[in-house]
Amino acid sequence: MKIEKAFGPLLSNYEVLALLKEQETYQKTQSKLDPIATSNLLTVQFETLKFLNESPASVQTPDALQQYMEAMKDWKLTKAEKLQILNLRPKSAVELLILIEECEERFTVEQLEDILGIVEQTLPYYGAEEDAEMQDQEQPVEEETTEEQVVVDVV
Amino acid sequence: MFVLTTVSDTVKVEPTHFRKDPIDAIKDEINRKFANRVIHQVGLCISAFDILETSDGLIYHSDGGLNYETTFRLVVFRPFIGEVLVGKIRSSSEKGIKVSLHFMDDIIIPPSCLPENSEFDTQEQVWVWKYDGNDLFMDPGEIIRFRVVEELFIEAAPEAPRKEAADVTPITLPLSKEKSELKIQPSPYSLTCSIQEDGLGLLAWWGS
Repeated sequence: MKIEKAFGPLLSNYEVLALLKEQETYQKTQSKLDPIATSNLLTVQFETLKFLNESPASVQTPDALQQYMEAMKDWKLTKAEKLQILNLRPKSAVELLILIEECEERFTVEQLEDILGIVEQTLPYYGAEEDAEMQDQEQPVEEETTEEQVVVDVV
Repeated sequence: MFVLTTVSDTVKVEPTHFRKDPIDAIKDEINRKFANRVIHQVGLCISAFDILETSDGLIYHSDGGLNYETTFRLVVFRPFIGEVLVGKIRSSSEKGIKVSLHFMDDIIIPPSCLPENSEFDTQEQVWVWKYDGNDLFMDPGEIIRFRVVEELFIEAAPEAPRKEAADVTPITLPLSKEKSELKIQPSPYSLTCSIQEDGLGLLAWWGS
């Protein structure tokens, strides 16, 4: 075994999620004939999917990613910073601050607000339960629609 | 956090898998060998990504399997130093807080990397951050945001008996490199993290 290139392109959480989902579907079609998917793969696949399904990547779409990258083009952020913002989808300035190196020197408060605005516009909202409650008060319209969807799913 | 790593290796496909498409068969073999394994100084392999090139399958004397010289890419989990991740608190002890990402459990936040004025509550077995007269508990199961400050790879010695290794608590910290290398370390890849910064720590603290 030889490592040709240890650090190739970076993958976003969404891309890994999409890859693993696709792989899972493939395994389901295969497994009866050839139970080749070994336990090590199934374990890590299951656990990684669990992690990613609890992350903002679970609600992202290829379109949203493309729009986000397009909107972020003019901002002087490193690839890693853009990727982190994409993966963690900050909702407040304090969350954004920790993702950008030497943030205070590079960006003004207004610029950070602009970046947050882009994130809000392009990437779908994802929140833990307690956030959802807070969101409920701020944007009741959005919450209602999700509730409706849930009801439809149950029916 | 996830990167693509290019690896070349000889992949052997057993005759039982000949009915499959060769590319699928090779991918399955790669996954069998690398998925959920740590490559030293590279990271934790999740799964095969794609196959870049492969030779014709060669059959060796007295062996029915096809051997392919293959160059392929793997999805590898390798957060960079300084990266911010979100995980769940798994357990706490005087030595720090253990955090889980489900697929990666060897993540520790040592006491020195907790916010100032943090104390360990021995009765409740949780760390408490005493902030502005409030007790902020870091309970197991809470979602926590943290920054990677150090990574440690330990090459597993082949002679180390597995059973013994499992008995040692993986919480031994990589405080000094020589010290930790002398001990039996069950985890080949571990991360030391910090929440000593505004915005890091339990998500609930920062109100999102």
